[in-house]
Amino acid sequence: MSSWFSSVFPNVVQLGWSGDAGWGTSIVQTLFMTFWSAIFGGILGIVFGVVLVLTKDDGIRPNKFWFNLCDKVVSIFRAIPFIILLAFIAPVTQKIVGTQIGMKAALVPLTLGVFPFYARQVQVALESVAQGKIEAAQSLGATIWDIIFSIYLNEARSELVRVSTVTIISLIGLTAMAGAIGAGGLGNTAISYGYNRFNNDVTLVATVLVIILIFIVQIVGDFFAKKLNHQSR
Amino acid sequence: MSIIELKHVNVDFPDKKGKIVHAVQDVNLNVEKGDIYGVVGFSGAGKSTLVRTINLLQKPTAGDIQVNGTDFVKDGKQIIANKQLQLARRKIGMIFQSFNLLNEVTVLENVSFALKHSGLKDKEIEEKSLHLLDLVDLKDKANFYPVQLSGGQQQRVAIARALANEPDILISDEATSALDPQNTQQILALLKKLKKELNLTIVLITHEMDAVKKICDKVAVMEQGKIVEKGKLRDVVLHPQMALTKSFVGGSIEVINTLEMLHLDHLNDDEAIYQLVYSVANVTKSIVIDLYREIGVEVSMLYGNVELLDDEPIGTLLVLVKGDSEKQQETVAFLKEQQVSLTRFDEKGNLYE
Repeated sequence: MSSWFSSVFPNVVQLGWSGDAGWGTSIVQTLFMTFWSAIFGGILGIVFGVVLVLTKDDGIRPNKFWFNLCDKVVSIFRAIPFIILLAFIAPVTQKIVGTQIGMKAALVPLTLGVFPFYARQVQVALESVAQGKIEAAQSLGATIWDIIFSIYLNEARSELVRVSTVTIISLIGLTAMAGAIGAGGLGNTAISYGYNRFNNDVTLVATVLVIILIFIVQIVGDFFAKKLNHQSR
Repeated sequence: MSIIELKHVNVDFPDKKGKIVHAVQDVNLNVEKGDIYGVVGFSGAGKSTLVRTINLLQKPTAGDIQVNGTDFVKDGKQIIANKQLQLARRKIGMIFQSFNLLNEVTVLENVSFALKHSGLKDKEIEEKSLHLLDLVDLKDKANFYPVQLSGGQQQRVAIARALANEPDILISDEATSALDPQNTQQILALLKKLKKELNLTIVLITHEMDAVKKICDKVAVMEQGKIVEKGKLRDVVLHPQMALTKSFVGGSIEVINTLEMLHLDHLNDDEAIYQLVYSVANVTKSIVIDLYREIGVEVSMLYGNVELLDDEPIGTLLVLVKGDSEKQQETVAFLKEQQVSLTRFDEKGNLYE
């Protein structure tokens, strides 16, 4: 079996498990980047999404200034192609993490790249919460925090899990590009060690690993989205 | 003493094209403590908008609003601080057409949600919530999710939630409109019972006169943002002044159903359909026989009913009167003399023009 594998995928085996170019290393790098930028981008996205919903014209705290500010920030960052964003915000990255290259440096553009995408989806998910539930809470004398946490975020939780799943999957796609600033990861393995060296077997295995990762995220996401949903029979 | 006082309340808002819609126009309404006050009108009449001003879910553009002795709004300006309003709202329960329960928490947690700021301990909140659920007969469903309950049951949970903070006032916004007749009866009976037990004042909006007749003691009729008629239910039903009120009083579902069922096609020139509404105690003679004897018109009965309005038996008759126009006029005069309120309908149950 293993001799068959090493004859069909010689370059895959040659890269090994550990070491700078090893498979284990690049899997860990991809997971690291996905996890932390999902956390940071997730928090930013939820904050922006909530502010957008609360401050819109018929929201519970209408405020044109904050709505327009958040709306424009989200629109502008969404409009910048990620590969350009990587280069464009390099000076900011330098200020925040002290370096422009590597896995940690990639977290800044990844976070900024993913949060506007997520914020829009959070906004849509929260808007799907029936206005009547907000009114009912207000009629009970609920505070704004009750309404944010117990009504908006909790009532939309299944939808939030669903959009988070979509966001994490697209985030995994973004981490593949982070290889461009030396962040490593499976995307980098596929390009640098696979495509650029005409080692198609490496590209194939890297692709399969990314697909497996995405499938796992999708299955886990679907499971929780279903489990947390009591909206209809 | 008025517990709710609305003076010259106006609500305007721009529609989608930016045109100003006058949803509520110069409405005056006094609700006394202990009333069950019905507000009826067709959809779009502004009923919901009006009652939403009571707890300021809807801010009025002009007018004064006073609830429970506290001024909420003066001259169209909110004068109660938001924090105070939050506290005041806990004393004004509200139930809705679409129930508006939280779907992602259990029935028990829905009720507890209302008690979050009550200062009670978690254990006490749970006990009180269970007691409230017991009040609406749903203690056994405490750990169900709302979606597992029927519409009537969901509305009962909403009632328990609305009553959690022991409010003085309960506003019912078309609370029975999404329910079938049986559940509607149950909810109305429950409201009547709770009103007595908890000393509530209820404001009930509906487009069904039957619901009002069932439990209200006062009624206001709304059309195009204005209250066109208001007063004691008995007076409004027996002596409706406005055409709209007449059609509401008469337009009870049974009467329209009866006329639809009969397929009367076209009435002849010498035929007219009247609805007679009268206090049974006032009419000792048989009107139908007297009409034949004294005026000589033939009277066919299409529908008859007696219902209790505030414990007074009120009769409703739907009759087809046959006779020439002179005799028709005599009939009308005769009935008026007998203190019978009458409304003429066409063959489809619409007001006769």
